[in-house]
Amino acid sequence: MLRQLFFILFLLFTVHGLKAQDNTLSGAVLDQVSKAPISHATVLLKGKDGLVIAFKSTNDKGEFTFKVTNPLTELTLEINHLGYQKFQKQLSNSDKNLRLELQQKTIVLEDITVKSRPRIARMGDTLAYNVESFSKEEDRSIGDVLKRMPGIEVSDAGQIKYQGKSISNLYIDGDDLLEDRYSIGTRTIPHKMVKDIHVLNNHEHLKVLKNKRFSDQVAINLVIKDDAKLKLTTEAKIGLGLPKQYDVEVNNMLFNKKTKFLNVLAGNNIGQSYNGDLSGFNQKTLLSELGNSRVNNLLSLGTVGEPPIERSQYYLNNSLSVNANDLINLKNEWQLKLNLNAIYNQDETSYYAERTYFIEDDIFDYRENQETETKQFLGALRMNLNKNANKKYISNSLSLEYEKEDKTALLISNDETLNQLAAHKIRGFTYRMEYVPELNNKNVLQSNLYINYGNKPQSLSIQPGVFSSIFNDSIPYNRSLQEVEVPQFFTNYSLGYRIPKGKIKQYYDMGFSLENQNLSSSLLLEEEEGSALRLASENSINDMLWNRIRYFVTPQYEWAYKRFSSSLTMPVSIQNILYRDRNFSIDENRFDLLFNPNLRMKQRIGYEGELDFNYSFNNTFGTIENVYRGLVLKNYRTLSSNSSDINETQTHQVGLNYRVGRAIKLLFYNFGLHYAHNSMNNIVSSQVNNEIIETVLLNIENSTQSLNLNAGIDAFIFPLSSSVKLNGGFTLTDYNQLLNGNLLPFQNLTYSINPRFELKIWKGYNLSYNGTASLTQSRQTGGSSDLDRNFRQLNQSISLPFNPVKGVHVRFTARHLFTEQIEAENLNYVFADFFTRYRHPKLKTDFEFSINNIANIKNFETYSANANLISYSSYQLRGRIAMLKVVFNL
Amino acid sequence: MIKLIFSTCLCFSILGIQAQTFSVTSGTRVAVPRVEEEGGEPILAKIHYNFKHLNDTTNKAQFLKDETVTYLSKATSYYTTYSSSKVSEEVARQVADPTFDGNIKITKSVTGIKTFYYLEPNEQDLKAVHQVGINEFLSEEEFPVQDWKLTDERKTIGGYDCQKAEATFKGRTYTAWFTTEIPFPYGPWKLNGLPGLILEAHDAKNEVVFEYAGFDLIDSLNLRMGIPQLAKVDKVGDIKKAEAAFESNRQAAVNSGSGAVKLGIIRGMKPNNTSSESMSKIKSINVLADENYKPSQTTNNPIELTQ
Repeated sequence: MLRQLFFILFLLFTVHGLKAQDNTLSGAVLDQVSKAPISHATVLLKGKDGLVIAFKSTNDKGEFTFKVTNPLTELTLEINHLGYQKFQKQLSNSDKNLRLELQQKTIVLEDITVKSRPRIARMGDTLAYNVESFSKEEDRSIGDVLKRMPGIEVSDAGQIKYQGKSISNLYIDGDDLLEDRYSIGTRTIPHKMVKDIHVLNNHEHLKVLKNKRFSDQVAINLVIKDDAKLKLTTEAKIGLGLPKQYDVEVNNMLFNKKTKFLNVLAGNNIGQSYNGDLSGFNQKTLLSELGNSRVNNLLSLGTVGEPPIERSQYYLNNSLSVNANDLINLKNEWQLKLNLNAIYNQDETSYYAERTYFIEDDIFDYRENQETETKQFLGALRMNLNKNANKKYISNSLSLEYEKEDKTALLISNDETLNQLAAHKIRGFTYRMEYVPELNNKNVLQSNLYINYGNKPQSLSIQPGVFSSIFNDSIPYNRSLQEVEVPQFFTNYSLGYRIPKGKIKQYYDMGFSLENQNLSSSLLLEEEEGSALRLASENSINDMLWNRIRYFVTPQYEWAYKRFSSSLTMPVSIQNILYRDRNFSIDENRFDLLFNPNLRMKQRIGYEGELDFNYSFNNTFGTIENVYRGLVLKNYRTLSSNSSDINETQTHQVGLNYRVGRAIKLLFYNFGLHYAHNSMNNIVSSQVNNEIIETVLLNIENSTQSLNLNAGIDAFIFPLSSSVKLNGGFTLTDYNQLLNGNLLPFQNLTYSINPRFELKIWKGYNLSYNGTASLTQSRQTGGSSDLDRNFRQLNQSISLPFNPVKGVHVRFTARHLFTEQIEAENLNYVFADFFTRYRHPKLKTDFEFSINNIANIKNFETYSANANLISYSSYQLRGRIAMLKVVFNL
Repeated sequence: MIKLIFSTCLCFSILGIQAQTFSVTSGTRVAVPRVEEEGGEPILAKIHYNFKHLNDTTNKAQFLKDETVTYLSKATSYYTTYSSSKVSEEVARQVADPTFDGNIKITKSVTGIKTFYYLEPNEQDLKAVHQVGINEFLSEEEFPVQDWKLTDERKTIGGYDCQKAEATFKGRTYTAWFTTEIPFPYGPWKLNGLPGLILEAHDAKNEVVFEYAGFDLIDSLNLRMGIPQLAKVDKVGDIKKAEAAFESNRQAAVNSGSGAVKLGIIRGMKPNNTSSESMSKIKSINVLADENYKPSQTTNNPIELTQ
């Protein structure tokens, strides 16, 4: 065998040797102008595939000689010298002795492109992203650049996530100016002011607790360029368009060591909502941690939600906003912050919807057509005085909130016309005090106080009156009026002692919380225009008092060894819930012992990987919303009440995450698995018929479970100098529905995939793609397959950005929405937009022209299938808009 | 200038000393002669490597590691350690951190290489700079010549199309991946002479490894490199002597050495980008050894196996 092989090799070799001609290729390299020989130039012979076959350096006389075995016609000669233009020549058989002249070049590194600059540097727990190397011509704000950075995602609402984890703070040069309402910052701060973005892993905001407690938080710090720190930046964006469109914004900002501010004054009628600026991204988690549940909107105008498209496409508005954020660093590390937001909105919406319920052998359906006008004022003022020093942390904050909203609507339901009025007003304040000193023995005391008061009186008036068969012996009447208010007082105080020494770090916390609410409501009838209001029925009134007191003791232990760290929290609490409504002879008083343990573990894997695991058990109880007995008219076709005891839910949750971020390769990937099991002692029962939906809460033991798997990969493709992001997920949910007396188990399966990438097609011409494809399967487990639904959705956008001339940027965008469902027509939408910008270098002014919704699509239809409900909705859209905008610095 | 001394002290302490804490008193000004920018070739680009060396074959789990860099000019290259610059960057980063409490913590997970190479192929010249404490000495070395055999294997490294070449040098067979897209005939350490920059190299046993860690152009005209004005040493023994002297009296060396900033190979480099205002925030510096980085103290497997 071996001998044979040798023989073949020998044969090959000789044949090859015979065939190859031993050519000598020599030449001299000279300067084109001076004709002087160029020494030390690198001469290469490259084969067809671009591989270097041989290379030589020229001698003092500029000469080189090659012994060539390949046919010359297959070779390319290349000469490299850093002082001369690159020389390339396809060789021919006649080439023997070459005389080659090179042209001098002025820019030495002309031909060299930087493809893999160290864009991200890892320094311990921090990843430093260089902003300049990720920004592109079309970007303006830091948010635009953040979106491109591998490992980082920015949601439409402006929330930032790193490796799938929401960030806790967005610092501007080390100061937390905007707290968790940072979307205004990512939207307005120009990326040119920012040098680096630091992603801080295992972040601890309180200096006194740094490295003293387990942290799995991620924060982002925008490192401002030195020259941008000194000057005040004022920018004006003035846009006018057709038909009768305006979009105006003036912002000014300064970020220096002592003072930082970001003030924005804006107004538009192009569908831009400012309401998101008011809500903090981490607010909900704080309240749930403290054990408070606010009562939200109980009443609504209709049964139809918002369409699954960008808000700016259907929001017919007139909005004004003032947003002021100021921070001063005082003496002795004290810091004063002031945030003021005020928003006024006036908007119109219009939709048509059909709902079909499949219950046993019955099918119920109804139609709803509504036109709504809303006037809304929102205001919030927040003041904070804090000191974040090494030995102590003190923070005092007070926030005041106010909201007033009036809605008028004309609703046509199953050929019946209803005039509706809905109004609410919110008034509330929150005070929060934290005091965390380090004691002389290096242990830490933690004291926290939280006080909140809020009220939201709401009313819903429907004309002519509804449910006459129930309330007025089937005699039609003029008007129904539902009024509800739930004033609430909530306070939480805790005092903790932390021993951050030894192998096992300890923390003991004790305190109490008090929740006091009073739900009062009445459903009134007006028989004729102007006649006196009377109660619809004797049980259409509520006056329920709710008092929840909790005393808790929380021991917490933390253990870390090498690359492993863990934290075990074991809160034990005694809870007393008291609720009383004399009208329904309810006077409940119950005590419960709660134990809600929580385990978190983290293991670092390799240099840049991390595996974390968490388990928690939660025993939660319902709110006043689950126990009130009187009827409440939630909307024109929903009457709701409760007949059960307080609901109790026991939740087991398990989560496993694996994240890797390779800084040099710019490769990020993560994998997550989450499972939750809930067991509950009651369930919402819905009675649906052609006219109404009645919901009651019934005492029936049931459980739900959900499993979620997700994976994401972000890779930076160097030759394209852009990111490719791919996310995929799978969710399985098991739950029950009680409809018209039947308990139906359902299972939902959702698969989704979301690729995003940007390709360079040609010089200055790019193609960017962002798509989401999902498949939802809903089926009744164990039952007939009549209620099985399959639902495919594709939401993709393709954009062609290019820069035809320096300073000019043009972009075409097409957005495609596709929905496919068995037994229903496919839905197919393509929206096209155009955008162009010219940057005038001398005036330092940008001129922008855009056309949105070129095809002038004025209507959007959607289907959704959920267990035994199929809905079809059709929404009014904004039509085509053309806009001219000027952006300049004042 | 304080910054310069500061960073010099810092680098020295990080690279030379195991875990210890010391305080920095800010505000003390020490008179130091200015570094004059004298000629030299403009530095055009730099390439970063992650360097790994299995220095002790009895402990195969632990490599000596460092982050290194080769600065490239038209006719010369300079291979040196980058971990000292990294330390400055790390200090700047910690000072910028919102929760910076005045205490800098640095984890030592590299061992700075102590010999740097200045290569001038057209003159067949190699100079070595030996770092002893905070002093540097210069020696003339034999110009390294590798007889590269080109292969037709190729792969993409950092976006560049690379070709594989092999050569035996000082007792080891090296595989080098070079790219003609960056036509500099340089690379890491003493490896050179290919018709393009070497982005990655390793020996056949993977005991000496230079991994690619990024390439960047340098557009600052001030950054130059030239032959340094340093005390010359002829023999290896002289360096050993200097090292021994330094070890015997560290503190004296620090005190005396700080006043004598000589003209090094690299000129015009800012010591680091941390402003003195930020520097005044530093109260202490704590250098910790990375738990996972415990290279062997003895070397039985040098990079150069033959003379």
